[in-house]
Amino acid sequence: MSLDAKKWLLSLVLPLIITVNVKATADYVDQHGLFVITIPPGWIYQAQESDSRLLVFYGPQQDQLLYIEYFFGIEHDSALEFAHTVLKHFDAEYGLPDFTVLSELESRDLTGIPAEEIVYSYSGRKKRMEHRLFVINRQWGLTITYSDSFEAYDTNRDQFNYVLDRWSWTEVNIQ
Amino acid sequence: MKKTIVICIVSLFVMHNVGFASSNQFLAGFEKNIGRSAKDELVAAYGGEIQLSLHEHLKVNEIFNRLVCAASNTPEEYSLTILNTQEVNAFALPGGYVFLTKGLLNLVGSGDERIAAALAHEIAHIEKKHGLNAILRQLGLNVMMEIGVILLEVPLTEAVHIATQALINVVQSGYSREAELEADRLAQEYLVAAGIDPAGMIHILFDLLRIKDQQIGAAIFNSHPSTDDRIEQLLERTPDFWSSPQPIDWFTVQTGQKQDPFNRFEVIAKHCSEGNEGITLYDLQNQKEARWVANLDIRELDFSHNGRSIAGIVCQAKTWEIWLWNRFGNIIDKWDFGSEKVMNIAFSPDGSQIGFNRINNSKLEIWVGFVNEKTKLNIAQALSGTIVGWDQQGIVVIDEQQHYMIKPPQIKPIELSEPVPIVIERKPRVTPNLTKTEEGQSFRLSQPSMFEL
Repeated sequence: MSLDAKKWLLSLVLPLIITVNVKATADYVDQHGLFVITIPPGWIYQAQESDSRLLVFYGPQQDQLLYIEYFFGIEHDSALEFAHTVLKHFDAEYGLPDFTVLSELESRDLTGIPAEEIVYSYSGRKKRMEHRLFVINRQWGLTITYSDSFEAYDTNRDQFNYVLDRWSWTEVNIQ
Repeated sequence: MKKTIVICIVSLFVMHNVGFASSNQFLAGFEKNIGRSAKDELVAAYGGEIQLSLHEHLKVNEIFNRLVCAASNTPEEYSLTILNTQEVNAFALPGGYVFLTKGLLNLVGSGDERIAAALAHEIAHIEKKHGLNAILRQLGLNVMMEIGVILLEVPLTEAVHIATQALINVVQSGYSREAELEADRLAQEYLVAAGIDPAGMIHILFDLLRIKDQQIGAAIFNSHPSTDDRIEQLLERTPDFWSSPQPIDWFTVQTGQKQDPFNRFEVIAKHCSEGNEGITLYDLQNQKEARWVANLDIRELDFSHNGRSIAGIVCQAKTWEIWLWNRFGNIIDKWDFGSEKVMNIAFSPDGSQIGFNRINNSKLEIWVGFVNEKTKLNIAQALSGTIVGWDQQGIVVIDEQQHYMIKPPQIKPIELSEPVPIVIERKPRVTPNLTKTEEGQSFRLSQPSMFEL
């Protein structure tokens, strides 16, 4: 096969491979056996930034970020108590710069486990918005956070709902 | 002059009638006053106060609170201020005011035990009233004067003003040799009481020594004892925080196996130069000797319990060294012992320290070195035994058929009392620009530009 023919074939096949790859969703089974999540198309797991206490995913848009932090041996009795304690620190003088609550704490059911959720903004390298869920179950806790630039948040936030709608706990956690 | 005479006369008059309680109460108030007054001037002189990021703030304050609770009966009197200057420095003012500079925090990075050491040293100055005593000496006044001041009820503002200026001079020029050495000693006691490794005190002094010639770090060397003298004192004293050797039953301990926990490398025998029996690492995956140890005369090897680090005793040209590698064969550190033979290396369970025997003037000594640090401690001067390994509890040594355990200071990990989730942003990536060449046949990589994915 000539070089031109190879190029022609590649130009046909390559976009197909990329399209398939970008469109694909991925189920992520958490390393501690607590949950399974479906990551929307175009989102990429960040191994360099993740460790045994933190999972990080980057979205297809410039500022999109999803991160899940684990808290083992946590002493809070409820997600509400956990959330109140955390928000007190976020709002303190030493807390997040320009911390502003945009949507007050609300209770929700995250596929069988009660959670508290809040939306707020703060000034990082640029102004950002975060939608954060607090979960407490037995002796462990999670915070599940979608973060995006202030301007892009409204446009992109459905991708976080996509993750939450497909969230599933491993069986042992909802017994 | 007239005022001083009046004060002295009045002081002498009232000495018999004023109890210690009121005197102490007055002194505490006086301390707080001059401390508060000096604080404002010091903050202004050092670029103002800076707010650390949320988690940095929480961590530094967690360490600070642990230390003041361990050191003081009145921890609530203490406050910590971070100064917005790149100068590497730390201060303490009477009344519980402690200052760290951003430059110092940048220098120590994430070294929690170093931050703790700097804070503990400053807390010790306050607890021992080094600042107050220094200004009283400098002004030629004594306790009688303050008693006079309080009874006269007149020149308190003036006295505070004069004392404040004297205090700023003292703080900026450094305390006496005795005060600095005492603060170092006491700081280590506070560190141990707070569950923090007292060796952090030595680590940070080595850091300061490293930057000594840089102008930015010069101010912290204003204290009279040289940093070398301070390190020497601490190297002698730190082993006291380890337990004395306790006889144990051998079967009660479990030490490392000196094997790669990931089974990638196998330790095998090898003839070294000059006919010495040595060892080397065989890479089971590549089916050959590991390239990075092939040309070395290695006498012993040990793997950290997590398998991330490898330590080896290397003897070349009659010079003894301990080398540390990561799993990829990159050298992390080298410790040079000259002609003094070293043997029996053993990693601590967390991989942060290595125990080893060192033959000094025919005596078998028991030492501990800190990975990535210059600090090495002779931890059991009274015992001359062979290191068998490092158990979860401490170093196991055998001497004349009897096993002993030497325990390190009890350390509590520095964790936030109230866990607070992190807040992160996407990291910017450095990516080269792709430029198509004029011919259009190839691409050229040009200067990277910063953008966020």
